Amino acid sequence: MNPAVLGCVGTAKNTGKTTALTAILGEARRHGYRPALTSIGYDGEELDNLTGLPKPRVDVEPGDLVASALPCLERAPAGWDMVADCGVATALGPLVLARVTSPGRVILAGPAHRRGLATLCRLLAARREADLVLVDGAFGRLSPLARAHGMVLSTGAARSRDLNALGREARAIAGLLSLPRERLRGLPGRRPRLLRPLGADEAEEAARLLATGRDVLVAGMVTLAGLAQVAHALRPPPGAPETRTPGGVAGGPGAPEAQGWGRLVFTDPVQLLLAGEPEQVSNVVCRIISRGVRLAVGSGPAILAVTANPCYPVPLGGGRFRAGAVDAGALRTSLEEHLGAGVPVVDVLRDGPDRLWRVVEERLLARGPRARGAAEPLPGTVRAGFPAQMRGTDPGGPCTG
Amino acid sequence: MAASPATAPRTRRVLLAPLDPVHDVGLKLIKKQLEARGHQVTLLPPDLTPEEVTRAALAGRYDCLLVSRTVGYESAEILARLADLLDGAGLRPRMRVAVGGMAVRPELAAEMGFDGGFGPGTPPEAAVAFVEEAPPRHDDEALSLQKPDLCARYSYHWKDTVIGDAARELARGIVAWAEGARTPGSERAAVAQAMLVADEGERLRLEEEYLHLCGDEVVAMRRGQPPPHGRLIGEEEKRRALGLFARGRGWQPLAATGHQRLPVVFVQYGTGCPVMDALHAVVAARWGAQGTVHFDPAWSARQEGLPRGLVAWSADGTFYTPENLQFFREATGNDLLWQVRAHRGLNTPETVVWAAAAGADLTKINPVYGSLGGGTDPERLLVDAVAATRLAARYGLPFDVVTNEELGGVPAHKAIAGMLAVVATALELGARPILQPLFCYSPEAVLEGYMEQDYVDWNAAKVIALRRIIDAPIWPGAPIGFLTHTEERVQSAVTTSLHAGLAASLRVDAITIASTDEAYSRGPITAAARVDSLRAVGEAFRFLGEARVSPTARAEKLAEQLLEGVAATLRDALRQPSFCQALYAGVFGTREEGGNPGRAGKGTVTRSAPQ
Repeated sequence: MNPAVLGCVGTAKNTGKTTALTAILGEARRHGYRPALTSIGYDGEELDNLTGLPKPRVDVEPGDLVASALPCLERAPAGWDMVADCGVATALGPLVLARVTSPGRVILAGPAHRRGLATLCRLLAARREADLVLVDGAFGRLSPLARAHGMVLSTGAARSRDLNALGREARAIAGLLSLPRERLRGLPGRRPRLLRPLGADEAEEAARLLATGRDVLVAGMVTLAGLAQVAHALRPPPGAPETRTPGGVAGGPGAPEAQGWGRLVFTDPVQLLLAGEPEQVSNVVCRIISRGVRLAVGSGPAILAVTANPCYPVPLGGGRFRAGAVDAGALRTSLEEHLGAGVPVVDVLRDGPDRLWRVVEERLLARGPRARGAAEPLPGTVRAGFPAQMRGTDPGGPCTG
Repeated sequence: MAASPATAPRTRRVLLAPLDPVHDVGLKLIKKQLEARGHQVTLLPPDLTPEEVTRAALAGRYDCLLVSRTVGYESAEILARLADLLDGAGLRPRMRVAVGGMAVRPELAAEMGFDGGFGPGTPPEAAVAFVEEAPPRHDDEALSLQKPDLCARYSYHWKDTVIGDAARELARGIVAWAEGARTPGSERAAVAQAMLVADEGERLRLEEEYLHLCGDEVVAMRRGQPPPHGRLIGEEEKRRALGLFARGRGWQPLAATGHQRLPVVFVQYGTGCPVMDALHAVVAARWGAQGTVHFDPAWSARQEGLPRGLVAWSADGTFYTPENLQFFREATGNDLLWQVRAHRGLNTPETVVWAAAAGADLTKINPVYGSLGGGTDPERLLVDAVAATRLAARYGLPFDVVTNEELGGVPAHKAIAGMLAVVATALELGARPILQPLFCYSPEAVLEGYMEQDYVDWNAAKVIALRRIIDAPIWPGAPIGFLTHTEERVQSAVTTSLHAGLAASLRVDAITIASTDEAYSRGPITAAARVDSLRAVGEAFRFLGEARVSPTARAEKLAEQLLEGVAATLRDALRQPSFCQALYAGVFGTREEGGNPGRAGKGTVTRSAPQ
């Protein structure tokens, strides 16, 4: 059985992604799951590589599977036996899969890119020795997690002390992760046109194709400027009604598919998250949708929960920091208000690990391997993003641009 | 120079991207080297965004992307974003990506999503190796040291025939004088040699024979009594200690200095604890030391016989027990040049036996210093030194001949004359000696004002003089800059590095350096202090490169003065009934000058009856 792959990502350093990961790890063991751990960066070290701040430990227990660069494992206090060489190179040496034999701390330095993580996941699936693969993110990096099944997003005061801004950003990320899934197999006679990348140079072509009813599949890099150009190019001429139908015939808003627009499908939502600041991307995406284009993603991780960390490091100069904190209740309220009921907000330290675990179990593990890869996002999560598109009405929420 | 077709690597397409506002000189250097090796390189203009770099990478089928960026908090976010964009654009499966910059380390590169990371000081060759997918070499990866043969380049030809003839005449006299003479030390060496090849039963018999040749304290220790200032390390403790050394051994160059032939840098150890000694040696090797010198306790130099077992000693120096020596070799591996000193005490010949058995590369023998400055009776040490020299020749162990009696006040020309007599004796017996003049602020230099003007001329004069006497390796010691160090660590590091620079400039073969806390602590030395000195010496080598320190004309005069003094001393020695008598008579240093014939072992020489 393919194990579920769960990524823990943060909007910035010190937002609590490793804390979330270790909470899930502990609960997974307690509930009888067989976890495997890795990272798309470098986690578990005592002090942060850049800030020098203390970092949360990653402690493993006998039986856990760990995928990390061999030199990192060799320095780990935890005992381990080699299971397999993953055939993936990292900046620190070959990636190996190891089984923990005695408890202790480990440093996780795993695959830095999608193919590396996919290779590791295939190995784990073939060995059938793990039910849940926990992947620690890094620096707000997302790309390698494009093929994960679920994602826990950590945010908090280390990212910004503006609680409203944190809420808006979390909502934008959740919304992009919750875009509808569409396989784009193509209707008869509607072979999609592949665009790679979608930047300002390709935007006119994309808009023209969409306007002539061609489906467009974007497989490479997407830039914010490119998206904005698409939105601009699809804008009705001055004085014309808000949307256009193919052939330049003006029509009214709504029922976009009936108007014959092509579909704009991105291979995964991570493409969009990488295009720029999530709020800006979200706004542009909304503008494209509002023109009448059916915008979707091929696949991608579902957002399971957002964790809130009220603490942040306050620089004192000379490389020293002290701990600061915003009001934990106000942070949670802001996130909940922006995200709605579709995306649970968890303060791991205050709520305890079990609340986060229940979300993971219910929204990821209980769905089974087939459902995890389903085209549609999880029920309820769409409300955090683009409900208008789903209902074919005017988008609200994040679409404020 | 382009690589030859036979060795040319597969041509790679490489994209170089300076993410900083200005061009990075490092990338330009890398470009030059990559192109010289036949790779196709595109250097992007500076200050592009991650999106622009990604688009440029998409435009060509590149095998590698090398990015430079001075990393700070925001820079790390930008680099991480670039890594994600490249991955999201589908480029990573076929394109390897590395980053270089001021704060970059492999751990940070991994965190940011790169396949490699190069920090400050990384040579362009490392980036070339990354591109060519040569076996990866990380910043902290150690190399295996190719141990140099300090004597290989030398003919031992006496260039100054007057001095050479006198030294050789003295040498022949020494060898003839020692013929048929034996001491408990030379007899123990013979027993030790037999022990090395004996079976268990024979070894027990030899042990009894050995004990008859030992002093009471050593006998007590060999029979199980704990050492007076230390303890025995048990088997389990030894096993665990050796486990500490299972990883992390190896060597890194002291400084990147192109093709310059640098002196081999030795550090001294003798903490008393064999585990700590090995640890210090491993640390020193990782910071550029190529050799270590084992110091034994002053206590054991006065004892007849060596203890046995793995012994930790709480006073000065570390015991020469076969087990201690074996532990050091086992713990440190076989990368470092390893000298075990045998020059001053009652166990000189035996030490050579055990050192050779443990795999030492060098030893140290000088009966002149050992008797006039080391406390051993001249007759006893001269007999032992001849025996030790024969053993060193048999085992192929080169040895240096120190002139440490200078530290007690003996004039340099007398110390050098004594050294040359020992060198001639070594050559007579087929051994390979190394000259060891002192680079020090000696009492003579203080009294005569030789170093008032600078620290260069007097030290240079010794090397100039020796080069005119004989074509032999020179290894100034020990440590260089002796008596110029103060308790200030920065001062200590600086004076060591300046003397090292002078030594490199004089193209000597090796140097021994002090740690920065040697004068401060007057005993215990921290590993960090060793690193300080090694770093300082590395910087001095880097600073000078192929340039040389230029002594003043006074160095030439001092050298001439030394040559005259050496010749006169050797002539005086030849007038004595024997070399041994010359030692007692003060030819190589009077009591007033600081040459004090020692008393340890006096009356222990026996001679075979004439046939």
